[in-house]
Amino acid sequence: MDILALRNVSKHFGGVAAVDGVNCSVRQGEIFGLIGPNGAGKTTLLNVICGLADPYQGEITFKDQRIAGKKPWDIARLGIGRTFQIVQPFHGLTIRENVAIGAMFGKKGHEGSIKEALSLADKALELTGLSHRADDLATQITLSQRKRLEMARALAMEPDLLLLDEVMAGLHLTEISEMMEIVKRVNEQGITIFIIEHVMKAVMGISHRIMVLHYGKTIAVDTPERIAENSRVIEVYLGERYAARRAKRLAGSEMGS
Amino acid sequence: MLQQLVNALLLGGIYALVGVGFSLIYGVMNIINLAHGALIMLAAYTTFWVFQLYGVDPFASIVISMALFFVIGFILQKYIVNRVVGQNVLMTMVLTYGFELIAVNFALYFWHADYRAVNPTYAGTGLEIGDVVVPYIKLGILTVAIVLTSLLYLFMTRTKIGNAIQATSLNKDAAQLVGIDIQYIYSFTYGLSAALAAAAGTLIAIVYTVTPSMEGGFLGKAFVIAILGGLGNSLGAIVGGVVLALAETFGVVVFGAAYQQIVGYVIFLLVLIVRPCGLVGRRFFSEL
Amino acid sequence: MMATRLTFLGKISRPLRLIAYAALAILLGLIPFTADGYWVRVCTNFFMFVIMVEGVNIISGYTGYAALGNVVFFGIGAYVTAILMSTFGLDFFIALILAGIVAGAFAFGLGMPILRTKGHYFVMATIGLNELVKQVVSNLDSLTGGGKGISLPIPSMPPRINYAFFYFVMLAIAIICVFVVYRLSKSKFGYGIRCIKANEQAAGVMGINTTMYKALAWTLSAFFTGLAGGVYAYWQTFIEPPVVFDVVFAIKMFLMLLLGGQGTVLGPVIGTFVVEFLGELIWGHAADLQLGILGTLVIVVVLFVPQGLVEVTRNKTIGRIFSTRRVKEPQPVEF
Repeated sequence: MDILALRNVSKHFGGVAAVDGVNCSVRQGEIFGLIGPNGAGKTTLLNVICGLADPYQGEITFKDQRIAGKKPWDIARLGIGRTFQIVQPFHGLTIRENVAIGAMFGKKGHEGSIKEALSLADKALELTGLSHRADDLATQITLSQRKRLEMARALAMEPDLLLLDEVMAGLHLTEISEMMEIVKRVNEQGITIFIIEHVMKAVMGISHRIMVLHYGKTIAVDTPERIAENSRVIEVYLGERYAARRAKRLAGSEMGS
Repeated sequence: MLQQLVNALLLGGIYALVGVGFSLIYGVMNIINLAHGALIMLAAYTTFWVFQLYGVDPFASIVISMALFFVIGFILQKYIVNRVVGQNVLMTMVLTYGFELIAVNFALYFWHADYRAVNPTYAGTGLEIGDVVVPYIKLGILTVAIVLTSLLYLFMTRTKIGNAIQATSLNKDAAQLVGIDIQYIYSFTYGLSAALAAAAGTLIAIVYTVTPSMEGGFLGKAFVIAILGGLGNSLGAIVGGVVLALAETFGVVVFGAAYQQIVGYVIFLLVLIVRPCGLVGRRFFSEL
Repeated sequence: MMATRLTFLGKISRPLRLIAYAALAILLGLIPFTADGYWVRVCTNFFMFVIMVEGVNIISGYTGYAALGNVVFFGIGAYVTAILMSTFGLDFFIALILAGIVAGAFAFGLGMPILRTKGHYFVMATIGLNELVKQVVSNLDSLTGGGKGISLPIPSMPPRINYAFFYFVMLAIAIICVFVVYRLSKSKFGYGIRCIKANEQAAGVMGINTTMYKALAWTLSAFFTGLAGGVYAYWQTFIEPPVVFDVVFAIKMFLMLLLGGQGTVLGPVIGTFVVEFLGELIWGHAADLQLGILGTLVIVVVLFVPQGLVEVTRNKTIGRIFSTRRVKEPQPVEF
């Protein structure tokens, strides 16, 4: 079943189409990767989904409900959480409070008390390995911890769909594998994940399916293995000449065998 | 009707000058200079006293007041405002309002709330073209306003320091990287803005009465003009000045004299909400 | 966070705190009956500013929208009270409540469009709004008396009782106002608006209805400011546009807020106390230098105490400011 479906979605800035007629559907429970060179329109697409880039053309349905034109907070309450590429913590609040905000205002936000929100926050902090920093201010932690804070905050909203925008950018190798583990663990809890990532090893390693965006257009949607083999994708990432040489080489080796 | 149009254009010259300096500071430093009205007021007094005591023609005293206020502005920025550039909106605005309060108190203390006027001998004469009368004074003012804004444009585009100011307003980090001393640029910009305010103040002194409480009105005008032209866009302020002058002049014709100010502020709020980039500005887009 | 911001009260043990409160209550209750009429007026003025500064604290300190033109609600409250009492003959308290409601409704209605603007644009919009309303009030002669001002019925009380009456009305509203801000700071709503201040976009994505929260915060701010204006009008028995829509008033409010500390419960009270009483001591003797002194104070506060006194005492930086010799010495950790 599809949890999120985009039909012919376009977003123009002035005369430039940042997202140009994108169609895709994210299945319930999967990890859906979105890759593409810089300026491909990945973050814009995320903004469109979570209501930050209104108005746009096309149709988006989330759990069979149209969300076009809805405000970010309405979309958030339907069950979509997101993180930001450039971390955006709430300064002046502790880590725990930052995360509790998600619980206070997220999916079931209007029901619970502040106390309940704080205990939900503790759970999300544990899942992301931040418990030991709970009482620090958001300005006092490292980048890797701030990326996890973004994640914890979105998790505390108890979303059905989590949009992750480059949660691994700028991290070193061990931190990346830790983050991959966290993403997998979150997914095992039944949360569908839509992840933008530049770190190929990571996104190839955890995604069930991957979509490639180039100048706002979809050029491929497939499993990681087949994406790696897709000549159009290689062309986009490594240039036409490399793609042509590779095609020749492949043809040559086939002949040789 | 034609007479109204001519009046509006003549007024537009002064308004443009009021707005240009105000917008310039915002464009370069992101500061709303609430002392702008006070600078205009003090310059108007300077013109008045120079005329009263030494008989200097008000048009000639533009040079004096501009030079004087350039120095004052430069010093204010160098020793005080530079310490808070880049801090939040509130800090910088409140700080510049501190200058305003001191300036008003200064004027009230020494010159009292009396109304004063500069009356050169050629006041009251004018050029008659058909039914339309164009007072020489106002024609002179418009000429000065056009000359000054043109000079500003040339300064910004043709001189090294003008280019440095523009570079700083586009991206202060990049400007610093290529070796621009932005502290100096800030001081220079404030001085330039103060000099433009002084020019406006001098011209205002020729046609209006001078009083310590005139600052509020002209600060308000600077707001409206700058927003109409696009905040930070100093050439847009010229458009803003002319538009405001037209709106006020015809607002009075349509609604009555009481509505002169109201028309301006209504337009101001509408533009702020509907088109914050100003009438001639372009929107900017950025990714998150 | 809020709890730690109140440390200098919270650290005192509970019985001591109760005694302090009781002493404060007795002191406040006795002032109008023992002090000179002049000081009763000064205290009433102090309470009035506490209300307004807490009001501006809600929208500026907590929500991050620097409503420099908030004085517009003071003027609206004052005029609504004046018109309802003198033209429609309403009772003071009914007129006062209505004044607060009208000011609040005005903020809510205009807040929706105006709060879409941000940063400098918002500040300018609020100043423009204040000027606009001032001009409209000055020209609606039939309703507001125009530029000539409007008189209110003079309360039929002996002067002493009159002073005490306004003293206690202002005090009551000030206490309610501080209490509301205190509750607010611990509520979900309070968290919501603090998030808006910290990062509005992220707040929206977390499920906070930023448009509504901002408008409600401004409404609350305007309601209290309007009440202060209403009491002021009846207290003075005469108001005119340049006085109740005075931007200098607004600047004074922000000076107090900055000095005390934005986004804290007691900061505004402390800031107002310092400015009002210090100011009274200074410009009580030099009335013609009042504006200049205020201006100087503004500059000094922005340059040297931008965090506000509450924050300064918390960080013990006050010691650093006042001791010139031992700048580099390590700061003691315990409070």
